[in-house]
Amino acid sequence: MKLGPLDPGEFAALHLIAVRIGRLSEARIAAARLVIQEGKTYKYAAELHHVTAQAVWNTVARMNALLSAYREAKTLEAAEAGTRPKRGQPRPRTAQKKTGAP
Amino acid sequence: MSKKSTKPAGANIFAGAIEGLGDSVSAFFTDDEAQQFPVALDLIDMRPQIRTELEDEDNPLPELAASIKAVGVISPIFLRRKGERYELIAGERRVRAAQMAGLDAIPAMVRDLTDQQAEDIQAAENIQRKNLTNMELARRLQKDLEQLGSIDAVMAKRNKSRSWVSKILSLNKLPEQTQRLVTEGVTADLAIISDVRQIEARDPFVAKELVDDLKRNFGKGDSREKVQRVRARIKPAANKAKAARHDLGELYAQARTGDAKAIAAALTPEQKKACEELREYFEQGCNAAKAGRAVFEGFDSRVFGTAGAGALRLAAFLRGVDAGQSGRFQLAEILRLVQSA
Repeated sequence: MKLGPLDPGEFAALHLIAVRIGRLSEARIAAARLVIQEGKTYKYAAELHHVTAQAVWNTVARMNALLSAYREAKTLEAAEAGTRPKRGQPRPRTAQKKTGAP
Repeated sequence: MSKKSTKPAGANIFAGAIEGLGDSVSAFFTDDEAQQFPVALDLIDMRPQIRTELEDEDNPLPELAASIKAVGVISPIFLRRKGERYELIAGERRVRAAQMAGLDAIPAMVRDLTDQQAEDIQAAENIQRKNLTNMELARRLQKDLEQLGSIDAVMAKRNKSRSWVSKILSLNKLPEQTQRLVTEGVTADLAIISDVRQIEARDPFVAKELVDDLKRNFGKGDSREKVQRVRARIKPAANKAKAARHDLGELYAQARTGDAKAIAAALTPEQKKACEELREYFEQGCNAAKAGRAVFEGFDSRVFGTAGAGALRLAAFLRGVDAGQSGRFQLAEILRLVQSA
């Protein structure tokens, strides 16, 4: 999945989430960042951070999936903000139904 | 609901030829001044169109051309005179299909129109078409849902988000006045449709007046703003959930710039109440067996977000994941997490 370049803000947010939900080590995330953000090869990133290329590949795949969900949420929020006067304020969500689980 | 339902049986092959002709378009041409006669195709100039897509999934151009070749063009196109030539106002697909079918001339209604009138007609036609397209799409998605059995399968088939699918599907269940926005070609704006639906749920009479007003004053002023004003007037000042989201939104804005500890210590009573919701997400995070899945589902259902109340909920959940089962809810920690993102 190709999602285009990651800006630093996105990376910070993703890092926060990924490190918790994926139980990913800092080394794996740093290696994945090199691949996603700087276009380095898996092999190069793996060697630099002393992890396996397979581990980098797995981490990149998870980060990409997360980035995709994150960007979708961001796009929808921006679209709603365009129709509502103030950012950060409640917006009607006709499709949303709060369930027990997040 | 749409013009299709009024067509005689057997007229379906002309669906593409007739489709897109809103009431407002025909109204300009159904008076004594309009003349109908065949016009040579090479005398017709195309006016720049708002519409960029000429293809129709249900009735592709080659099929329309084939039906025109077989039985001719049933519904006239709309033109205005430009010196010795004519300018196309509505019916570009029919013109292109007629060219494709090798016709020399096409039946047309001709009227003298100003530039402004011509633009208005094109705009009306586009709104009508967009509405019909959305309604048709909604019906198609409903069929998909019945066949495939789940929203997830429909999302996969259409390669669209849950939110998009639910927005379009909701068009199938529009109440009377809201449906008029679509069927009478008033607007194709989903934000307006959604707001009018909410107004109608509270007061159908006000909704009727609003839709009449929007229809009467088509193109004048900001319709979204008008609808939002009515919606704000008619909605109760604040319901619980709305107030909580509002308070969390404010708290998020404060947390982005202020000192987490100080903010947590100086909460308003409303914010304190709203923070109970965060405690709930924190606890879910503490006990989450599959935190990753919960985050994806949270983004998907839009309980979690990248800013505002959604971001705070997400931070509370993640803080819970950090803390584990014996974790203790501390708002300042959650606010710090928001600051660091």
